[in-house]
Amino acid sequence: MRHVWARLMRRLAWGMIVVVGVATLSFVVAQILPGDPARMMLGPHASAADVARAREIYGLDRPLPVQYARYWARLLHRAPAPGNAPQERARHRSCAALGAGLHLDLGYSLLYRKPVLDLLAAKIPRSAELALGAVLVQLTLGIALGALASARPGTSWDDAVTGVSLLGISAPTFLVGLLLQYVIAYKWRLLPLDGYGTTGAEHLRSLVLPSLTLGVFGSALYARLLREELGSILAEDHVRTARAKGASPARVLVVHGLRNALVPVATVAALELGTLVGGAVVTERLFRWPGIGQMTVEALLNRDAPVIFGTVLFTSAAVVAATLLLDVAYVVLDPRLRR
Amino acid sequence: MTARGASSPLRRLDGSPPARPAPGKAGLRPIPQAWARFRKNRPALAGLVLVAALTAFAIAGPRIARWDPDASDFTLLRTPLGAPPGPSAAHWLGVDPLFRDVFARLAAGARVSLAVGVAATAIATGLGAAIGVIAGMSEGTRTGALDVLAMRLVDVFLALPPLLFVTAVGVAVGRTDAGTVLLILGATGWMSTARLVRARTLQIRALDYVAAARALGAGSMRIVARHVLPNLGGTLVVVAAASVAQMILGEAVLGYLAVGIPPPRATWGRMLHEAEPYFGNRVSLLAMPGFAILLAVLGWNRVGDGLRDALAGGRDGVQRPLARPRRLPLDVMLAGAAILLLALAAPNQVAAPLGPAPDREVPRRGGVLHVATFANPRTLDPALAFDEAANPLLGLVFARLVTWDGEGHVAPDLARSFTVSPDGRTYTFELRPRALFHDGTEVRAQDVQRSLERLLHPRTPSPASSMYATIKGYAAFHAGRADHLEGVRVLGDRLLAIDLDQPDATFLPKMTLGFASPVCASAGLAAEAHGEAKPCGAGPFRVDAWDPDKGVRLLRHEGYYAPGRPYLDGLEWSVNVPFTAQRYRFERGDLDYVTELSGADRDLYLASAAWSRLGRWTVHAQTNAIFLNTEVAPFDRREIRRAVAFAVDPAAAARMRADVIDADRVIPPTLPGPARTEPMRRHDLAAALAAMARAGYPFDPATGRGGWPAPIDYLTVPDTGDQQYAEIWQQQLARVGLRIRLRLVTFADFLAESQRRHTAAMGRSGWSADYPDPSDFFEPILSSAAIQDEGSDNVSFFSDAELDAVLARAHGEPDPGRRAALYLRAEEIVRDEAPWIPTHGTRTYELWQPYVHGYAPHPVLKQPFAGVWIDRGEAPDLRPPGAPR
Repeated sequence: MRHVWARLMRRLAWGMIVVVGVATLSFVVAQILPGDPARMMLGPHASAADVARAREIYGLDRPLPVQYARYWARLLHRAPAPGNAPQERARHRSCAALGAGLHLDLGYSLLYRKPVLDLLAAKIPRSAELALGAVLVQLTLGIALGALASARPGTSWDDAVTGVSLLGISAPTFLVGLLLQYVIAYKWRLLPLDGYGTTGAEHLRSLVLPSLTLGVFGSALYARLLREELGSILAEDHVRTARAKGASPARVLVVHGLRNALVPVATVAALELGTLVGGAVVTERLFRWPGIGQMTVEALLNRDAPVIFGTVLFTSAAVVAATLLLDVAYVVLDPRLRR
Repeated sequence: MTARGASSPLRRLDGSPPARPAPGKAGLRPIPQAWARFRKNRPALAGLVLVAALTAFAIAGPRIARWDPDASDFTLLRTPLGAPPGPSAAHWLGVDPLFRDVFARLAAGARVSLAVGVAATAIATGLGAAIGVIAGMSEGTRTGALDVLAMRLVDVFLALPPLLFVTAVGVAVGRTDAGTVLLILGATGWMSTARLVRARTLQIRALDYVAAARALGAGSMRIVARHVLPNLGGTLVVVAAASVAQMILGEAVLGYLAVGIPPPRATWGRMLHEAEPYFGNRVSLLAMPGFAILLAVLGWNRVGDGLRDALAGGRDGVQRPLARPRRLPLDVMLAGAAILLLALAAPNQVAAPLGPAPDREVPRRGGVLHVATFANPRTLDPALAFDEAANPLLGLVFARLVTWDGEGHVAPDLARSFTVSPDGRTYTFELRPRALFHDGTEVRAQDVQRSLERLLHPRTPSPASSMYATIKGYAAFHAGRADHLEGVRVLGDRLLAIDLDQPDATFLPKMTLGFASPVCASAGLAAEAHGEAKPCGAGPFRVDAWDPDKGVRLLRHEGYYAPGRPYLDGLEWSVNVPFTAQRYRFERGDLDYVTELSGADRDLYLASAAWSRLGRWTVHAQTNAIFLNTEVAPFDRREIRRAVAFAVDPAAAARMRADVIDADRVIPPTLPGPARTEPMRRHDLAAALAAMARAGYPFDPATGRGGWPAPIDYLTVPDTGDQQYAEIWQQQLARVGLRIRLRLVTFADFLAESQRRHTAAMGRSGWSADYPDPSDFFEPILSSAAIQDEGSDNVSFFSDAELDAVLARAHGEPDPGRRAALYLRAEEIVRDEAPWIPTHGTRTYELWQPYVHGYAPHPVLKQPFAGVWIDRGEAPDLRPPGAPR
């Protein structure tokens, strides 16, 4: 037991290093890229004098190490004593109280002039919903199609699944989205064109098309991976034994086949989760879904360092968590890996 | 491919001996045996034929094609529906949005896309497999550190935002090409394969017979070669087949991130993306490259499956029957049918207007106007906002002291009247008696003073402070040395005087800008660097709600100074709405006004008799141009600059896009200025060639010899508009011996590079009017004062003593006639010295529902909805029940 804990702790420590390292790297790279954040804030018409003034107001004229150090100093700090002057309270407007007298602070976005924490708090749940929807689509469609093809190998079903999944693999996301939106939302009026609605029901209905759009590629890939995997597993000895013992074809497929075949699907699904959360830019734009993908891109294009740092901190933590979960999932899915 | 041919595979597997031997019993087959086996595999052979055919197309296609894939056929005209012309005897598959032959481009694109798709897949999959195997084999052994290292590397690459990585690589290598694309695609595509392969390796390693092999003394290398690799084949083939398509598409995405293969080079992915706006009226432009990609994927997938079967004697069906006589290639047929459906889709006609237009011209009160934009205003603080998205909203929420009338003259707004002192240095404004802010307080002279001081406050990060630098005491106040702005004097509750240091003909126009709007006291003494005060002004509408992800809801300001106005109860202003969705919404009546239709949709409306009388073109007060850096070769030579001016022909662009209008001078046509009797600049190929000869670089168009010896980089952004124009100029400049290479960079890089001294030789430029005055088109961009080493607004680094003198005189000149003459001289100097070649202006099409009344596009103000009312007449509401209203 202690061994397991030690391993987990080691992984967590590594995870922290990765998160901090990647966030730092992003911060530094974003700062040394050409392009002036003050200019991006003020637009191409602003005069050089006005840009210089803004640079001063936002502290962008300070050397990079100073900016970076100030950033970390703010990230976790002690909360001010209660009952302070309003001015002091205003200084902590961008903070989230963590309890135990600590504040978490990601600073202000240069572009949106809002606390980065507020922006993330508003967008991350939306991104998570979309990613979840997409994963649901991918796994349902992918497993169903993959199982269908493997249950009837060599038949027209199999070929049709191959055809459909190759189509899904080759289709660009923007085209899938445009088509779905055109046919289902515009022509047939079955679902909202875009947005995320106000009530829970509207919200769910709005989620369908973006999830499908985002999930098509994964569904196709998982169907192919699963079929490949199932094909070989169903030929293994233990499956033959199960059949010989009179297990029904369905039981063989699900219990003996699927469970083992899910390892590669789980691997890719877990790794792609980060992409689904942070990289759904095309889908978010097409369906006006307010996720963090678009915000990250905007921040990068406009050199909005606090937002870059904040989103990367979050997405890298999500990636690290996903890979950690993945290693746990391996052990659950494949007992042979338990050592 | 799994076992085929039996009616129920499960039954067959039950009844017969295992079709596959236990995993990994055999290693890879020798090549001759493998080929013999591959040859018998019909689907695989069909795939090989497909791949061979595509390769042949890539090799021979460009020779068969009758056109240069990168050359536009400028003789063509758009179809009545606004699309590029379709298939004809001359152009077998039609032409693309730039009137280039689609067949020739498909063939040329095959070379790049097939090579990139396969090579990048090989790099990414190979890298992933190698790292995965090494990690999997070292896990838990003495070399376990390798596993930890590899997996953390996976984490890092997954966590790093791809855009950041991509931009960094782009900046590091400078010019991007196919090599960069391979590097980026390979470096960002290996991670899942590595994890997948590692997981698989762990599984295989744990198998009994592998352990047995190890016990018998087999080394790691041998285990990898005989057991691991053969078992990985199937998974790798699946991953690689998916990857080929992703790489072909990814190449185009990199193009949009400014690190792709520079245009005009055709690639399938780029063709797809460039056709996106034609989703509405010419889907075949999308279907053709899409089909090409699909064929490549089908072919490679089948070949991959066949190779796996042929090479691996592994667990996957050695004795499995392969031949499948008389079976339909269902995968190919299905894919083909889907694409055919797409290709044959008819142009999507627009629906008829909703209800007839009643002819009553009596304003009605009530109703909500629905408007949408794609852009999203970053801020609604008038002291900070500069973006196009905020501009019309600010116009509705914040009234100014003065505004523009329908003829383009400065007119009273919150100020009932204004006077200028004879020396042109003091402006006096008398405020209206009954003007209220949205918070109910009266608009007084003190509020105007407070608002101006807020704009110019040392702590306000405004993009426009220096515009008001002529106000007396500006320097002291802006530097924080004075408590008040000396030049702004309150003479009474409704009387205000502003003193200037020197006469300034542009002062009143500047007072019409949103920056100078009076704001409520709640806005504070300085605009907040962080956070945002609730927008509160004295305009016809007040902000009721603002959700940055949805839009802005405006309600009528009952205290607006004009009695009875505005007529509307409010506006529902949606943001982030893509162009195609705007059309869908407009057609349903969910939008009452649109101006951001995609080019294809707009042309459909223009072609519709029922609609065309309802819309109107609005010309922007904007000039797009090519900047030529007068300090960088070859444009430090005046004659070469003049050659560019003569060679560029905006009429070609106007032929391809309905929203382009020729520009022959700096000042756009909508602005007051010198008379336009004679064209200022004309297109003249012979004159361009003569100028090249005078410069000492004669060019012979017949042989293509001569001209400037080195390629010249043209700096622009990867945007559908700017990139298209750049590709047109590139073709035109090639005719006079100037070989242009397009250098696409992101907007931030573009600004940084173009505004840095001695850096960019040429590129896109442009200026839109802050206020409709000719001075705004010369001083900020072409005067010596605008030159800086970094962040220079004068990107041509053009310094001309006469121009500076003319501009200085014109700035303070009160007489319109004399002023126009001075600007005419300025135009001539810019034409003759050619540092900045005006190429084109743009216009947008505004369209509104028949029940929207009282709207007229304004020469200066954007979308002035204050005078609009809604009258549906007796016509029934035709929108479906439940549609949001």
